[in-house]
Amino acid sequence: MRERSDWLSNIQITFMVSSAIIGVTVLTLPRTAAELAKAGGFIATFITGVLMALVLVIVALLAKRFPNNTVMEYSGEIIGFIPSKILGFVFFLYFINVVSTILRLFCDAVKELLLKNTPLEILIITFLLAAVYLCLNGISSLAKICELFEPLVIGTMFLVILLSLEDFNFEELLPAFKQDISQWLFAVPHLTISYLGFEVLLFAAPYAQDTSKVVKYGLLGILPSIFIYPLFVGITVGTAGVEAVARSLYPTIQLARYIKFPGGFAERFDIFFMVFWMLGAYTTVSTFVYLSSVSITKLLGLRNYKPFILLIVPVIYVLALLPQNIKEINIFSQYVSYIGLALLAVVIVLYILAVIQKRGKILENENK
Amino acid sequence: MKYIEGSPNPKNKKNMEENNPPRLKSEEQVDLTLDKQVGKNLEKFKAFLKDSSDMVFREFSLGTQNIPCALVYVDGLVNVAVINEQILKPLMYQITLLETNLNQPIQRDKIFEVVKLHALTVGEVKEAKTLDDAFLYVLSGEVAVMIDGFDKILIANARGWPQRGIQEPPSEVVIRGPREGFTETLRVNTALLRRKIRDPNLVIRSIKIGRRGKTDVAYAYIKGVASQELVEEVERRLSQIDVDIFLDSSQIEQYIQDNYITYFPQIEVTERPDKTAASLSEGRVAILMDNSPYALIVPATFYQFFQSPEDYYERWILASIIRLLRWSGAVLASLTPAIYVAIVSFHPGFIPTNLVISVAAARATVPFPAFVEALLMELTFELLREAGARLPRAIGQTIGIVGGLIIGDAAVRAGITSPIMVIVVAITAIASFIIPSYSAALAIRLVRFPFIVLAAVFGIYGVMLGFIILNVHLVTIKSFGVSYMTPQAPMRYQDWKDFFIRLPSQFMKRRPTSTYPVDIDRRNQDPVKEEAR
Repeated sequence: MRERSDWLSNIQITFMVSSAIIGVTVLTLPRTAAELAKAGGFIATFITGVLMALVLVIVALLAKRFPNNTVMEYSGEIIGFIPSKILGFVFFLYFINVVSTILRLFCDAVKELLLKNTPLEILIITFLLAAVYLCLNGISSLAKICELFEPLVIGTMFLVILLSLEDFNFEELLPAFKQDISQWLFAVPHLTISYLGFEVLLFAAPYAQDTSKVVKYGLLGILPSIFIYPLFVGITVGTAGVEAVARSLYPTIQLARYIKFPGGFAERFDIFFMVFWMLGAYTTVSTFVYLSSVSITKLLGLRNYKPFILLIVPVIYVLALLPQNIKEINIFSQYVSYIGLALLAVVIVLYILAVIQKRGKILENENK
Repeated sequence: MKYIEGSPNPKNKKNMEENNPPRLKSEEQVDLTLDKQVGKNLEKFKAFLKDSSDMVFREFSLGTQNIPCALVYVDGLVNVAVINEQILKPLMYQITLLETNLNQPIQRDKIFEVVKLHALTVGEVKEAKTLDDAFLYVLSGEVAVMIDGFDKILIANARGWPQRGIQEPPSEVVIRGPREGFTETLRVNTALLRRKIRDPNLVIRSIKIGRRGKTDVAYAYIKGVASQELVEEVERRLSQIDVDIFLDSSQIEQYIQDNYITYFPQIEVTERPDKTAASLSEGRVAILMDNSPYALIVPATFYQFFQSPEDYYERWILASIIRLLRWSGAVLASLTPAIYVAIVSFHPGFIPTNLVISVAAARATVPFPAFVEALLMELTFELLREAGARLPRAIGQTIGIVGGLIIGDAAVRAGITSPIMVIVVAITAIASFIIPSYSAALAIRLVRFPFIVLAAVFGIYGVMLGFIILNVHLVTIKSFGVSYMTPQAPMRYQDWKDFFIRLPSQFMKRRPTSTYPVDIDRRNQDPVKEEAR
């Protein structure tokens, strides 16, 4: 009937972008921000968000020019066959590394907080298989799950922010206004990993109901993170102080732990937060599992991506177990975010080339 | 028409031939076309039906010319008073009277029309041209009137059989609202619907299902409201059913549902005509079956199972609060024991220290881990519920007292289980009965067993993993092409007016979009621009 399995409504695009962005890195985001930008972390985070929103507009404009194809196909039109295949391979590498990194980060946090005695391998494989189950059901189910879980995730984040206000001390943030702009800008590249995920537009746009509105709905998707991330960083630093946050392993969890649940029927709010946090991590992991399998399929010029989902499971598993300790994970994730930034730069170049070469369709501008 | 499709079971073949050879043989010889002679037609009827004691074959002669005629009907399915007064009396007596008064006999070749137009004082009169049709009519409770000289049969409607009266539906009781419920007679049910919607666009079409049962199945929709695609889909799925007999509409449900590897119901079932009529006005299609007091409503989404007709009869604020209560009931019914197991075995730090101490003290004498304790108690509850459900009401209460009070108390005193576990089980039980739809409540209640297992293995992480997988499963279900989790996934903001809460009726100017109604507006208003669906 009318609801096809490979069809996304505009709202679903928003939810997919939003849930691909809001993911595991929020657990560590305040630490990175506090380490590099000290008290001004929240400003640096906000600047990063705005910059990333601009990049998202360009990504969406590129996707809009080619409403029937993914980036794997139209990059060939713009830069030629061989470079486009190389780009596609880098995309695949990037996606698969993102899955491994966030999976590892997340499972480490789960082990640390919830299941001290369960082997990490078990956690990784169960969570990965759950994501695979979703991906096997297609992009439409993925979008629906984003719609179901995203409100819960954002709601929990707001709850944490609201309940932490009690301990919030604005004086901790005051040094931010004496800082140099360069210190904020210096932190930007390190913070971008938290905002990465909107690359999903490059692959999901062909399924969109109305590709001409992809810019508007994509922007709507990044909005929640632009506001919640700086709030989170600000509240965490304001509650615990710069030094404590910079040294804490999972400052967000630490923040949640301070919270006294009203009525006192739950002692540890961090477990509560972690539980709903799983949903956010799940949508991110699933989106990237989907993207990795689709990118490798398109790279090989095939159509059915479902066998590849199963094929990449062992690769992700091994990659996720590769880092030995939390320090290596951090280095690993830093490299991954650099690849992501480089890819975004390439996408911007692609867009400029496409405009110059007048490739692709120029859809009617949305006048709203 | 053949009595036995395919070849009979070879083991029974000899036995069957010994027992009823004559009937089988006579059947093969019968020619199914109708003859002009009444005697021969009657013979054909008798060839099939003479062994049945409930058949009545009545021969009589018509008018002054003594034209041979015959009636065939099934005793018990017809209203004898109608036959005597409206069929036999005009034919045997009044036509003779007419002919005597006119002093001329009616022409032989016109007698069929005369009888049909002037003599039979019955509302519904049809003609059957083949023996097959005639059989179906007669066995549905109509009267076959055969007149000599015509190779067609007059069928007069004199249906009337013992039937249950309209009663309050026992499975869907409301405190405020109409108290009538569907019965086992299709005609009564369609009449109940007609009384709610007096719109000529209300279409009630019917088909016959079952090779032997030939049960009437009707599907009702409002033309110009229900999507044409949906109606065609219902038609297609119904016409593809090929079975022997159907005894209840739930069997139809099993044949036309989208996904049979799930235990979530994908079709709404109701005994209430008001609920059915409301669904029709939302652009859904209702399927009614003769012999079943349950109407099927398609498409159904998950949230519909949390609605009760009473929500719309009660003030909206109260109804909304109660609806929220039902949603939390669903969460409690499926998750409480699992969360208990997870907290007790993995994360005692989650609950306040005082509570941890009292839980630990209560569990000190319990010899089992929390997982076994939970599984045992939940299974016992399921046993009690199932035992009580099938018993007569008086004994059912005894079971409740023995099970709930005595066993629960004794188990705690014996140290097999902790009082907290008893509380958990009781909460689960009460919460699960809050959900108005029985089949949805059953599904939600049974989902807690996998959750308990997951909680025992992975703690709260396992519970959430189960929750995620359950949701993935739910979003993949479709009911007649409509996603099960609509209006949340895919998101349809317009439908949220009647989702977690019910807004005042004045706000519901449009029908739900999830059914893709042809006419979205419930009342006259400026046509709004098509929102993104």
